[in-house]
Amino acid sequence: MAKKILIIDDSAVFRKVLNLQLKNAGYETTEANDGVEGLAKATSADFNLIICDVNMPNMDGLTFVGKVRANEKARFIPIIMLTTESQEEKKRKGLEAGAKAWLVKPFSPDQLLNAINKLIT
Amino acid sequence: MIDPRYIPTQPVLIFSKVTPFVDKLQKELLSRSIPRVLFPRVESIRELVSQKKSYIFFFHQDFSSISPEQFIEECNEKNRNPPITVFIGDMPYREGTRKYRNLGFNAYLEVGYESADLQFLLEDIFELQYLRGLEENLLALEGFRVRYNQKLEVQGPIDQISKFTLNRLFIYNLATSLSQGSGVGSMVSLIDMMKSLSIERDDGILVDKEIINLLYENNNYTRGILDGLQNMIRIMEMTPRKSKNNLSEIFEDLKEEMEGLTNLFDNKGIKIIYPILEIPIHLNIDEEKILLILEETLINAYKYGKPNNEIEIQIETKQQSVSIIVKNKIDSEIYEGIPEEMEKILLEPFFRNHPPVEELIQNNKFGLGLGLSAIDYIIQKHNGNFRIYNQKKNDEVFVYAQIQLPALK
Repeated sequence: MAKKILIIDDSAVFRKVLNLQLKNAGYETTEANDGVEGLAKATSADFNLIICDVNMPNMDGLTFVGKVRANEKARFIPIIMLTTESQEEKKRKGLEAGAKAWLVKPFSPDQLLNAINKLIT
Repeated sequence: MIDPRYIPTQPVLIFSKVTPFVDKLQKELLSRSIPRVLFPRVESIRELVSQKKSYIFFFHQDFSSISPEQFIEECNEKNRNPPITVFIGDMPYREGTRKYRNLGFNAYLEVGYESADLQFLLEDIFELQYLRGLEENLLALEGFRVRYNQKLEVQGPIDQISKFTLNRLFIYNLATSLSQGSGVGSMVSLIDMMKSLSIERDDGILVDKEIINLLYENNNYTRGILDGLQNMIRIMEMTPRKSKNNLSEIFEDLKEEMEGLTNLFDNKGIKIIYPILEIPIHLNIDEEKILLILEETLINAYKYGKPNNEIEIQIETKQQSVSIIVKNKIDSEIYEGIPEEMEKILLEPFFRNHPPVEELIQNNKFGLGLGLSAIDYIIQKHNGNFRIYNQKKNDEVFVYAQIQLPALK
């Protein structure tokens, strides 16, 4: 059975890019526009992994990670954060909050799939 | 060995009443050249936290003057930069880590720790503290100093250090802007994906249609970014064609310009309230450029504005200047307003406090976080001043964009 990945990013184009990469690699994907929508989806269905952008409106990625880690149902889902090179501080905060890995935008399909494989195989 | 760069300059503070334990920990810390180790009282927590220095706090479970929960609350209360906290307890490492990280501690140390355990822990928390320091330095030194010097109108050429910090700040901000959301970053990812998924044939390459469609869609955003850079260059090269203009007429023209965006504003339920001037105000300005910056300021206000609200344009006159103030009630559930330290670097080229809003990219004349820089630049060419700041009133956050122009004598 295909593993399920939740993609959270406020950029529709970037979500589509991720979606296409993951579907081609055999994963089943669900999309969310921000942390609020992402949290609702993360806590209402079973996901094997979450990929989440840092800088988003409504609820940013760091708050999202904290809330997932405090949720009984979703707390153990590994989370990969997406960031830009210059957000070192956010990287630190994300690790403190409980993110498992980081990908710096833009990244290649290989980098993405390697990061995923380390966490869910 | 701990990387010497990571050795803290501020003391490590231990909240504990267990003397033999403290003795052991102190010896271990001193043997690693950690400069000072103090044993503060509970009363000192708030005072130390308020000093805004980058402390590391070790909290022992037997320090009964305050509970771990209260301790964390004291450390974090109204503090953007809380100390790094380590809980010391007798639970096994895994359980202790899970429990006390959930409480808000950064790390956990078992009472009967081995020297190697302490070594790993210190490496982690000192690196954490070092990263925090990097960010503070970048904001406080580079952004603030550059901006502050400009505002003080420091005379003479910019020295080598300022040039370096200025360039670094631009590159830092540009890297962030280019990588975010749609545009250049997405294009790179798409082409990488095309490369890995395409199938080579004798007569050509077979590429997934979805990738091509996404490339087309993303190309609109990428083109918008390049157009924005071109617009910024034109602004920087221009000499304003100033003439005497009636401010009331400027607002009439602005209303006409904004009609093209009526649908966008209506969809969010945002109404613009224009000022009614009881006495005529004249300014020596380049009308076209001032209209451009007013439009850009209103689009910016729309971006962060609370739905079903008003954006109000106010006029403030003083003997030497006239201020056009765009007052905007922001959606504080989404945006927290502008943090004080961000105010200093908000107008720097390529700086973005929030990610781009994709549906607005086609209306933005300056992509990549250049909009506020362009406004600032045009106003400077008019010998004026531009400032953005917050005001909080009864749990509501208002953002003010103040365009201050010299009064016409």
